[in-house]
Amino acid sequence: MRSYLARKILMLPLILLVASFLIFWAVHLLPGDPARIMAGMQADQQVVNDVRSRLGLDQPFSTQYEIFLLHALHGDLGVSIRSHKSVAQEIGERFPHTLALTTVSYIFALVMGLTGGVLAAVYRGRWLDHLVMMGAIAGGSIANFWLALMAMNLFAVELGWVPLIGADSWKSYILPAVTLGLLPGAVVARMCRASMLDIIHQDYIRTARAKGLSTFNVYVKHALRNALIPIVTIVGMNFSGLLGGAVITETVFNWPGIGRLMVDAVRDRDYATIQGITLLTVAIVVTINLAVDLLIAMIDPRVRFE
Amino acid sequence: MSELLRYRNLALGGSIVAALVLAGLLAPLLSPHDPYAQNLAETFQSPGPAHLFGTDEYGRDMFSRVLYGARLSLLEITVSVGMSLSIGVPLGMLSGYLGGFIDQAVLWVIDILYAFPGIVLAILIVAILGPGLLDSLVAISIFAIPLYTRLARNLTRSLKHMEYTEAARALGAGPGRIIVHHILRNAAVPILVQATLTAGDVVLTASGLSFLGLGAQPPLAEWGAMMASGRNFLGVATYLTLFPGAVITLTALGLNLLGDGLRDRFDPRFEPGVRP
Repeated sequence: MRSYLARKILMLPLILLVASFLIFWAVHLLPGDPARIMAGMQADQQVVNDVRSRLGLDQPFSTQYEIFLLHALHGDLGVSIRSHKSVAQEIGERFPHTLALTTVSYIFALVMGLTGGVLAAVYRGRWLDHLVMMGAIAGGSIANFWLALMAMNLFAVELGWVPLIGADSWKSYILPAVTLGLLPGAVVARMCRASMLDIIHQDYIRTARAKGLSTFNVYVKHALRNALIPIVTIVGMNFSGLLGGAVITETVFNWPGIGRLMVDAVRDRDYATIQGITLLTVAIVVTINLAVDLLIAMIDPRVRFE
Repeated sequence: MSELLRYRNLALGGSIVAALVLAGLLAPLLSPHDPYAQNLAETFQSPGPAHLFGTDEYGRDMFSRVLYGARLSLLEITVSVGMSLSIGVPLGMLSGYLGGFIDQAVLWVIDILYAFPGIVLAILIVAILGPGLLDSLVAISIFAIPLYTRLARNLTRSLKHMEYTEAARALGAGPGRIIVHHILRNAAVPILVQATLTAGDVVLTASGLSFLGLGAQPPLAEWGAMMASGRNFLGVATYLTLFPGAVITLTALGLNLLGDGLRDRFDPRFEPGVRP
């Protein structure tokens, strides 16, 4: 157990280090001269050169990466050429909105997915099962920006039930959270159904039923608990997809999160911001993957002793 | 249960995909208008007999544009799935067959690629290459590679120890022959299923990138790009986003159903009707 955990935890900084190098290298390849952009198109060569040496852009690549890494470790991700604010500060302002949105949509996805999955498994082969499974396939195929725009048109423009854009009240969360949560909800529902079906026919479930436990107790306490392992894995792996989906959802709903910030940054060639956001999302994904691995090791003793 | 009902997904998905392919191939014959011809006298016509899906802000016929969009979406699938298959599968098979250091190195690369959320990686790559349809397809292929590599690797590892593979080896077959004749042939179906399922994601991601302005650029009749310009007229001319988005979703649905259906049909572990 201990060596398993140690190996997993030691991998984390290593993956982050390689990823940070890849991101830095990728941003380095971006077209355009950051010093020229920073100084302004009209600035004379002397000013541009000053900016270049101030930013350390005249140093060799390896030195630049070293400086970038040292600064990043101290929470300094550079300055945005667009807003002239520090990237870390800007991400700090935007990230809570993304976190709130992804959390709400994940709760929605879990509630829908687990309920749907358990019901489909319990009523296997009946109309409810078919309904849930059709819903899951549709939910996994729908273009979320299309659904977002159509829902916006119906509920915000036509009916006026929810605000059109922005993140001002709890009502603003409804449409973005539902459109963002639909895909992970569909994945959870399918996984939950398959996993429950595997378990429902095990001996201990028959025993639980034979000793007179209520249906709810049998299915939720006995079966669902054991069905959770593959579900936790898929939920964790899907978080990365959710963060990606947030990029599109935030853009449609004009949500003030890091997803929209990233799209704006690419349009404005704001390299420091692109770099910072990518680094942050990678760190989140890697940490969540690790958390999932640890959680599974806790739930399932078989993993620990492998 | 009748044979058709058993393979409902396969039939339904297959029909949708067949319709997409036909629409793409026959677009020049089926389109009532030139998809790029502007007609400023007929802007924002609501859907009707003259223009089935209406016309856009330049008076272009939306039905023709959506039909031609099927061609681009076929191109997206072919280029993107083709690229990630042709890199991912050989890499995974080598990794699974050889094992050892190479296998470890490949797993490492996969782990690192998996640390990037797909679309974030795609956006980063698009930022380097510049926005454009082909550039966005390269980006999408890169993040799909680990999926195929991992699948091909795992399949190779299990097929490597099958009795018929060992028998072939005992008869003196070299690694190349074993990989192509004994492993690739038996791994082809699961890989094909995965490719079909991934194709659905490709359509969604490619049109999503175009929608964000990072993929296909206007005036190209690409569904996502059409939605990006139609979005400005939401509430006034909602059909400009309704139809392209509906066909994106229908295409992804068809490919997902087809993938599910193929798996049910060919993968003995998923035989319908005899589920546990």
